[in-house]
Amino acid sequence: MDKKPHISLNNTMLKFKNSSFKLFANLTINEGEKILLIGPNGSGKSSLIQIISGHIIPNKGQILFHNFNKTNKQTKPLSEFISYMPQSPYMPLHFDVFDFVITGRFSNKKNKDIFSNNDFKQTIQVLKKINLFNKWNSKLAHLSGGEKQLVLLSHNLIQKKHIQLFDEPTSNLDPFNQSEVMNLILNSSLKKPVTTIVSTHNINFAWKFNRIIMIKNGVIFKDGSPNKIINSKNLSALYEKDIKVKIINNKHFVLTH
Amino acid sequence: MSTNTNIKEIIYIKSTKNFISIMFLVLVLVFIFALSVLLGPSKISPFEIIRIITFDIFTNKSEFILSTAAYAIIINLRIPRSLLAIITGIVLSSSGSTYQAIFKNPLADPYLLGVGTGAGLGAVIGLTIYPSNLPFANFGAALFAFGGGLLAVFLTYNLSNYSKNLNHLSLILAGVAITSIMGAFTTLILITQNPEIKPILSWLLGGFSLASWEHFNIVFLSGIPCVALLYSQHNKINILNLDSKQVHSLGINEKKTITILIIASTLSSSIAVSQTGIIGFVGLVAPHISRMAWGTNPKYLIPQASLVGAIILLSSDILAKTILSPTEIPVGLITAFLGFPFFVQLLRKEGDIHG
Repeated sequence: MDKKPHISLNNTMLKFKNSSFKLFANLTINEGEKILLIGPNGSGKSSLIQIISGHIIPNKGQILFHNFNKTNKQTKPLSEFISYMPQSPYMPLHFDVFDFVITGRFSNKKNKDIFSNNDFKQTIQVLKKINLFNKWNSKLAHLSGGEKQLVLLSHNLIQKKHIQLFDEPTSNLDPFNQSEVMNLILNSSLKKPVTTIVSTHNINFAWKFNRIIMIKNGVIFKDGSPNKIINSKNLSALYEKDIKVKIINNKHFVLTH
Repeated sequence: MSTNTNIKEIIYIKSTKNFISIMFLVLVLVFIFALSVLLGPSKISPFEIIRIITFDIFTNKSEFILSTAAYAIIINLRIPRSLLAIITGIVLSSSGSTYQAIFKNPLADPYLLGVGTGAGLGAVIGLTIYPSNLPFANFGAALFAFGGGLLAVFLTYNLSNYSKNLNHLSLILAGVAITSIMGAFTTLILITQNPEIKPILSWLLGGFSLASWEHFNIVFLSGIPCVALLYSQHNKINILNLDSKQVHSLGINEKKTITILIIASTLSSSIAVSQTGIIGFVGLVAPHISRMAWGTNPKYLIPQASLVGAIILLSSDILAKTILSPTEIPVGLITAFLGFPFFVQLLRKEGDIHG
């Protein structure tokens, strides 16, 4: 089935000052795709996500959002259809969980008061979904690292945007919470198709996604469905380590040692 | 628990309770205002005060024989003095709440950021060029104070950016550095240029003892539009507490918004400093008390902190004029004495949160 392209990066090139790192991407993303970005530390996963979110303006090339007909030069419109969960951001520790999560309801377009009854309801809903409702009035300062990550995730889920970007959303979580969070990210309750891009180091989640993009040294190394490209050969080449993929009881497992 | 009862409980804590607290604070402020007009070195009975005020408002004054001294004390001294303390508390506390959000630092306040001493330096320069016995001197000092305050906050902000991110320590260290350099320049000007050193020194310590309607009008007319502007941005101020990346994601142009908010906060607090001297800690303490008691939402925090700040300053001024009566203590000393233990407590708590 042919889908209309949704996001395209045309010969996008990014260079940092005082660093030899270069990111080059030529990429088309379709509406509703669930994409997992994998690659070694410093390969450019976060940079790629931030180019799409509009936080980094590439030095060359362009990024187009077709259904929205906007270029990334305008940050204001981007905020209406993209949400972005950064990796370990600063958090206002004197906020309570409820007041932090409800800020996700802010929309600059309407500049409306986010403390309406409907906003309250939505916030309660998302906190229940993530099993943090019992801590709704705890200060962020008194949460564990994993709980803070869940709060951050709620802040993004409550935005209900068309394009949702998550930069290592499971890095501080225990294994059970990790898969819970991945399910929450992927099984959106929204009626509209949601395009999701997630970066992670946990390759075992690959089979939950329909497209995997491997990044190595700032270029796209492999791009395809998990069944086609997640194999011992590709992973070993990506990480330059000996990696095996085994199938046990019809489930795939990536063995890194 | 059903969702409905939860919502009711949360609505109570997040909205209703805040409304009630604001009503309560207004009542307390009115009570302390009455007390402040009543107390002073000359004994004037409450009945006479009411008579003077009603005559002043409702009648043609010349038709009544009033004790002229009592009339002058109430109408030209005590009322403008109390009102000046209130408006100064409002201005310093709403600026403090705003600085704390936009610098992502619960320790930021006009005093610790260097705005106080910057505005003080500006005012001293203004008064040296154009002495206070000339007409419109207060107005000139206010303009110079705004220049000094803006320069100080600009320097503090840029100095703290040397350490790449706005962390708590670098902002406060930069504020301390700017405060001491501005203070040093002020002293230098005072000892080399200005023969009238004593009145300016006592003004620097902060106080309302020289308050007149002119002082009040200057602070009021500059402060109210700024506070109104800050309040109109309460939604954005709330979001500015988050990481810059999230602020950007939610569609706010952080730099532009912060610039407008800094100008409004600095303008109003610098001009307050130019008319009252440097009064520390209020801009820090009032927002903290409000946040601890009622929460972080600027929609309520700005009015709550403003009222708490006005109550603190007005009460401090009552202490200033009564403890050693008839001698007056500069109100800046009282807030420093009251603020110090609070500040120590706060550092301990912040240590809990951030350590």
